[in-house]
Amino acid sequence: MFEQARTASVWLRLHGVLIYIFLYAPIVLLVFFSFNKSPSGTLPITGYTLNWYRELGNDYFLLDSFRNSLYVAGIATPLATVIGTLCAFGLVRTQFRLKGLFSSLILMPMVVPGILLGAALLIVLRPILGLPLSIWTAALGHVVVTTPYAVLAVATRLYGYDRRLDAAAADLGASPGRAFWHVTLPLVTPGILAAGLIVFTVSLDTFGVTFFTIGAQGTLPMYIWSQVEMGIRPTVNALGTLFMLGSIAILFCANRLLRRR
Amino acid sequence: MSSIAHAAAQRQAARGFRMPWQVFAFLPISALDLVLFVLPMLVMGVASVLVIREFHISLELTGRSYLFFLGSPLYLWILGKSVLLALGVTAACLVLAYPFAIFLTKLPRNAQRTMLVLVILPFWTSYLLRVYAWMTLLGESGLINRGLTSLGLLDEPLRFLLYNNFSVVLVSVYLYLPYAALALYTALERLDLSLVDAAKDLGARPWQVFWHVTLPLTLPGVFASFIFVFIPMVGEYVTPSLVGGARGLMIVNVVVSQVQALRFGIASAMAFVIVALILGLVLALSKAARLERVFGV
Repeated sequence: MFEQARTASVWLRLHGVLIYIFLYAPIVLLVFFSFNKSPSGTLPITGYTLNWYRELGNDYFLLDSFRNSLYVAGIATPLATVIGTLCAFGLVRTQFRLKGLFSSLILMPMVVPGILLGAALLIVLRPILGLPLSIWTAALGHVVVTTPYAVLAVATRLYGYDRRLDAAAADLGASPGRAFWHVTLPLVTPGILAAGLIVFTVSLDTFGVTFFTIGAQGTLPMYIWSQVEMGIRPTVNALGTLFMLGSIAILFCANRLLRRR
Repeated sequence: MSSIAHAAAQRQAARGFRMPWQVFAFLPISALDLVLFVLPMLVMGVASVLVIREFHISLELTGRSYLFFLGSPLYLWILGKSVLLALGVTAACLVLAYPFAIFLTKLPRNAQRTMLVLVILPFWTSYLLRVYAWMTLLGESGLINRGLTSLGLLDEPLRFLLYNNFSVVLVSVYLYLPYAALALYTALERLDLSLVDAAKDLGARPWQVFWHVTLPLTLPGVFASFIFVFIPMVGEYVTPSLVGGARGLMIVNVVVSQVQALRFGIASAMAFVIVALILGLVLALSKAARLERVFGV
């Protein structure tokens, strides 16, 4: 099994195939059942229908949640991307004592349970900061949670950046500001855009921190939560299929941007 | 530093232009995290030692919330169980992901890229919906039970598939496997294969090569898996809520029910213990996991 040959043994290949089946079977079935006529959302397949997709379009609560999600992600994305980009520049381009510690602290909001952070924010937002719960407070929570993703995405891109380009610009008489604006920034822009797309996607799917910070309104994950808690519903399969297509399209673009040289 | 950069630095110094740009780089994130991350955590810490009755806070110190939490066998058991479940999920992810990551590194270069994207792809579909997909698989009228019954292998549905610790572990392994696979793949890809060849030339058996060369050199990947699997898993809320039922509850479910019951003091004490545990683990593991490497140190 751990034979260090240059090609994979039969056992390794079999294991690999099984892992892919494990990862994809539930998703494929979800897509499959979204077209199933039987409302139980499970076997047997009784025929194909687009009814569940049509029902989604008539669900006012769903459309409202989707709009709220777009608002929250729309507010959080530019903020998290700018803050994360600045931080990535600082981390990649300077050396200081305790940098490792600082980096881990920056990643903390990624691993602290979102719902606990949301509960803690609940105590701070209204009583201390005087902010009533709304889409805006949820967006602030999202900024905290998604900024580490932006830092990671931009830092990855910056790490591969050839600093001699800046030196060349300076040697040709460019001021640091000018070199940054005309040389560094255009080269790093794809990374920043990719970070924005990643933040947007993560925000659309963020449930934990939203739970206690949004008040009476709801986002898409809150809607899905309310549906799923009621049990298995065929419209959720249709929604899942659409959600998946949307995320994959966004991330496909992000991936293209990150790879561009 | 190259001579070009050195000359540029000299010219810059001569102009007397020295922008403290690091201030602009770190100020926004520091402000954000101080106000909306550190402050809430501190307030939570303070709330855990004050006397709070619903919305009335009196400035009276008390250890009651902690005594209540740490003195309750049930809550301590759920906390311990959460840590155990997280350990189990991490172990399962490592055992499944390690050979899988080896498999990935042995594919042709181009295929590696595609297969990696395929590993990450499910991670980007809605988290709640991936848990939901398992509910439709494991339920009493779910695909597995229906399938086995219609094949005549079962008379009545298996009930142990859903709403217990087993279903929480299974679904969590499914959710976190891509993280472990990525972390281990990154570590394996950096492995210098000539060391493996050298060990083999010196007569090491395959398992000896693995145990004495490959595994020690890829330990940062194992530690990184711990950070991205074990730590979020200890604080998992969605999976135990949806597929855990009453028997599969984890500690964060208890905290949330305390918040919803407006018992903020007790909720804060519990949350504070969990966050302290997580913070301690991240700080302890971040060096071993070479986390700073992602920032190019």
